[in-house]
Amino acid sequence: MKKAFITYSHKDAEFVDRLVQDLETPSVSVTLDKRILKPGDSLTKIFEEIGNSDFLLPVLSINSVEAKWVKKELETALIKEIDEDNFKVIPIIKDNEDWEELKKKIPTGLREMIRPKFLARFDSKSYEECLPDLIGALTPEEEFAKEHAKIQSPNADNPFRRVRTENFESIQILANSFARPESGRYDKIIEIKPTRLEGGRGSGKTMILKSMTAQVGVYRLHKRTFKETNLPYYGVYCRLTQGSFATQAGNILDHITESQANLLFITEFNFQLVNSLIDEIYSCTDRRIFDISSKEETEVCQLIGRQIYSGQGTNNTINNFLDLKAAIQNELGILNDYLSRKILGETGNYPGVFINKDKLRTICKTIITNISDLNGKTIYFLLDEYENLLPFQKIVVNTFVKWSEQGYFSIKFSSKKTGFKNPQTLERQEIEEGHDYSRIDLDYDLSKAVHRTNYRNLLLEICQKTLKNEGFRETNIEKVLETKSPFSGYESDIVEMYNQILEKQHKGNYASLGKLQQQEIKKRLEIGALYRVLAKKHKKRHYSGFEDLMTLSSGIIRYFLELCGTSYYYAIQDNVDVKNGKQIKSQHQSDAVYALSGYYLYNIRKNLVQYGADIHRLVIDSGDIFRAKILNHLTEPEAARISIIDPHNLSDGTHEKITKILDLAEMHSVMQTFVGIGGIRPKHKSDVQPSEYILNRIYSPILEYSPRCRWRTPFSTSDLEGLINPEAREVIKYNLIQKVSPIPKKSRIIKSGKKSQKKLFPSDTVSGD
Amino acid sequence: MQDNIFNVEKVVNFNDNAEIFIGCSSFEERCLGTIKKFSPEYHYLKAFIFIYNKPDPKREEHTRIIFDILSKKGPFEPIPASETDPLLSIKFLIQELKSILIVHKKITLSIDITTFTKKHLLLLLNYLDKNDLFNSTRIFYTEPKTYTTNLYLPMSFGILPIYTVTGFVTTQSLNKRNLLAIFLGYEGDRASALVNNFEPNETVLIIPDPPYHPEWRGRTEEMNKNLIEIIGKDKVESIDSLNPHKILKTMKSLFGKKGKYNLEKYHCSISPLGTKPQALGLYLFWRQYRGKFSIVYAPPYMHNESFYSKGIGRTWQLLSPS
Repeated sequence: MKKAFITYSHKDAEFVDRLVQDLETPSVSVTLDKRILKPGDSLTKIFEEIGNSDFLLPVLSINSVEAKWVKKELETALIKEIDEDNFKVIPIIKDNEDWEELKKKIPTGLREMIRPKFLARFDSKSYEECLPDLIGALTPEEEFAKEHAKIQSPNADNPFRRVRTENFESIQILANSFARPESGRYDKIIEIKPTRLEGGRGSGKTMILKSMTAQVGVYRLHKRTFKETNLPYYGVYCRLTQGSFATQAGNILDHITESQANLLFITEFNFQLVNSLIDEIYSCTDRRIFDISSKEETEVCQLIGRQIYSGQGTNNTINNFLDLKAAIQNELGILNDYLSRKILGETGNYPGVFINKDKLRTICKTIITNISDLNGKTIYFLLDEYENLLPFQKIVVNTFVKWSEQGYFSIKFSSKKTGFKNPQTLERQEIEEGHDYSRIDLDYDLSKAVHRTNYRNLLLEICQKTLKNEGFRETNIEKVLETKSPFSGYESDIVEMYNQILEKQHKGNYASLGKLQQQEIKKRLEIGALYRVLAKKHKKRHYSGFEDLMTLSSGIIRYFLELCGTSYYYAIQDNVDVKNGKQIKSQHQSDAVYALSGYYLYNIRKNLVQYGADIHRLVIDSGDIFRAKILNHLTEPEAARISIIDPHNLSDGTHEKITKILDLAEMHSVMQTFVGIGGIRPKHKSDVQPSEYILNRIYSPILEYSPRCRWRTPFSTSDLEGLINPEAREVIKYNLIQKVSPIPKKSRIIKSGKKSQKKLFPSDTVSGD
Repeated sequence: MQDNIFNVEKVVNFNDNAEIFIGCSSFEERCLGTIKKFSPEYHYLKAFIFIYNKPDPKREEHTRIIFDILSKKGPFEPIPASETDPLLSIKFLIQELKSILIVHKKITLSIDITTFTKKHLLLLLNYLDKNDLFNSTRIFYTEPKTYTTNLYLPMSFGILPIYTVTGFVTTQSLNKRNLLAIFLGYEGDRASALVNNFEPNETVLIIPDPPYHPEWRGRTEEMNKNLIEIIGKDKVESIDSLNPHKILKTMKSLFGKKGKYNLEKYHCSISPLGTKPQALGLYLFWRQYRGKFSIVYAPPYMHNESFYSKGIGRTWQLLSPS
């Protein structure tokens, strides 16, 4: 929550009181002198309060410009604004004032300082028109949301606007933009064995699945027909969105048994797979990627019709793809209707056709055998968003994974992290990673050199294709992004900071140390020292260049593209001709980093289903703890790894809420965990959960800690639970900060400009803040 | 079914069939709109009043008023209902109606949909349809006098898991391009969260036009301006806010065979975050395009208490029995 202090003349109290009422929102709290001063208090308390605020809002009127105290407060605040990156003065011109006349009464120095600033002009606009402008200035995340909307707009002239696969307007553009991950990874994805793709939002799961479809394959490989591609598989993309299955709607298991539900879903799932397969073939023939004669079509459809309706006694004449689709949709309609009635308690047998795994295999074989372009291929069903399925539906899909076979079909499915928790099949076996399927994690662990290199190469290729497609002169993103060291200008301050730390460690003086020892100090403490210097000077760290943006993207492609896109947007606002070879300046990139960092943090509350507010709180508090560590710890300042000391507690059912929150946070890439860090991803819900999490590095700028996560900060499950409990949060956080950076009470909170306060933390007024 | 809607000053019997009145109590004062307009001659066989189980003093007060009015008219029965899962209450109602039908072969259902949740309304209409009662239904709706919207505060915070309304599932194949159509209301963040979670290939944003009151013109656009910017103004369509027949007509022109968003080409989901009459219009559209799209919903995690309707506005008869 931001804090705003209003300075005004008491003669304007009526205007100010109304303003205060309208300004107080879940994001902003407003302070006035009458709220903070008690009888007997010194007026210097007001200056203290200004020091603890994020904004000063001087209400300028004929009454206030002549008031001594208002002028003093304004002067103090304007100087503070120059010194501190995170403090802002937003002058408010009261209604019914003559601003030109008022200006003449303001001392010249102050007037010049105000001149270039944004002013909330209640004198020249109606109250209703001006208030949103003022609120916008106080909530920059909201303002940035408007800018972000422009950057993402389909009409935006921004080469990086296509951050989601869904944004690609055509198959051709998608195919031209696709960059293969490193061959070790991609080969495993396209082999016959089923694959589970796992990754955070924006890691490229959909892109990879779509790359395996026939239509994209043809463009990607620069061929005219599918036959020419010589691909051993025929990919059919199937997105498992909400609304795709009747067995997904309602609490179906309250009304039918699980075995009945399984039977119905197998039927429904099979029909949908065949439906999608037929549609894909249809699409390919339409685009002339495929060649099927009418005779082939009739034969195939009649065979499939007999396979579906065999033994049903139904006289269904299916002579072409349209007939087949109509029949399938009719069956799906019957299923939907049956389930609706069942849910309402109506009885009766299922009137439709059941279609089990053997029939799917037979249908796939029929298609492969009878359509010459598909002879010898395997059909890949490319299932996206597995996490949307209900638990019993996932078991059915797992079963299909196990039933995959060369020459028939194989299943490639993607899920967000934590979307796959149960490897069980209908036969009460389990699908085994390695034996039954390959698991590919699409997030890159940037702490590992190999991952970093592969990710780097992938980003370079994606950007090269993107910029080339858009006609940019320079297509090497490393050259497009100007780099400026964050240490620039602070070198001597940092050496001084080393000395201070060494003094505390009783290890002498930096200059007196040998070269090796100096290198060791630098390696360990350089970043920590930088943050301490910046904190003292009330400055923010500067981010720029390919390496910085890559790190902040946390190994997820979408974030990197958004950082580039926003940087580009700021650059062209400043008339930098990037398209013709000019670099995106480091300041534009740094501005973009902070804007996006705040925006993503802000959006946790809005976009994450159900626990958004809790996760938002947890991220902010973790950030505060990491910040305390980087500013105070003598040996391990960059400790942004959440290390859970008792992870077994997360699996025993007693800490359900925090477990769900961590899962949801991981699913949406708010937090990350990697295999090999704190244990393997559990196969079962009851297995021990991961013990180590990293906050998405995109939050590190706004929360002001280092995105490099070298060391651990221990948390217990009780600590985490305490942090999401509004009642206990303050005490738990204080204790955790004390643990990581024991500092005397008086100087406990180093003013960061973000959340400096006399009392520990501002209390919540609305859930999530 | 007749295509016109009527401003109702007095509620009278539609025909000589046995009349069943169905309403829903609410904390919103307009839940009394239709009932207060009962003419002295209006009579019914039985009335059913849904009462959602979330405790609220205003709802309790309005329930008392409803019961008071109905007690002077004839027998009535309260039906407790869950906002999140109203199926059980619908099941009860259907069973009651079936019992009535054994004795009275022809009935007319008069339903005041004003304060039903949209999920409840859609489910109810669907189940009435399955039991051949939809064509015997007339529908009333009362506008609010005003909304206490504050353009600067969010109307709700966060969202709960997105779900498909039971029975409204699409049979379109899974590899078609995903189209999400949203009837926009005043909850811009909720619509944005829906798009962010759904991640469709294409989105259509549907603005109510004309608004209930001329002075409300532009509000929906203002509350959803960021989303409109991201999606693009060319993806914004206007649909009537009140007349379900006009809504149906526009839906057909947009999503029918010759429409810009021909449903045959998409795996389409539609979310009714707009007005209640729009949800009714959507249902009429569903009847003609069954299985061609799904209806999805994203309940808000928390409502901003300052946002709700105030007062009782005009009452309309939106649908008449055929």
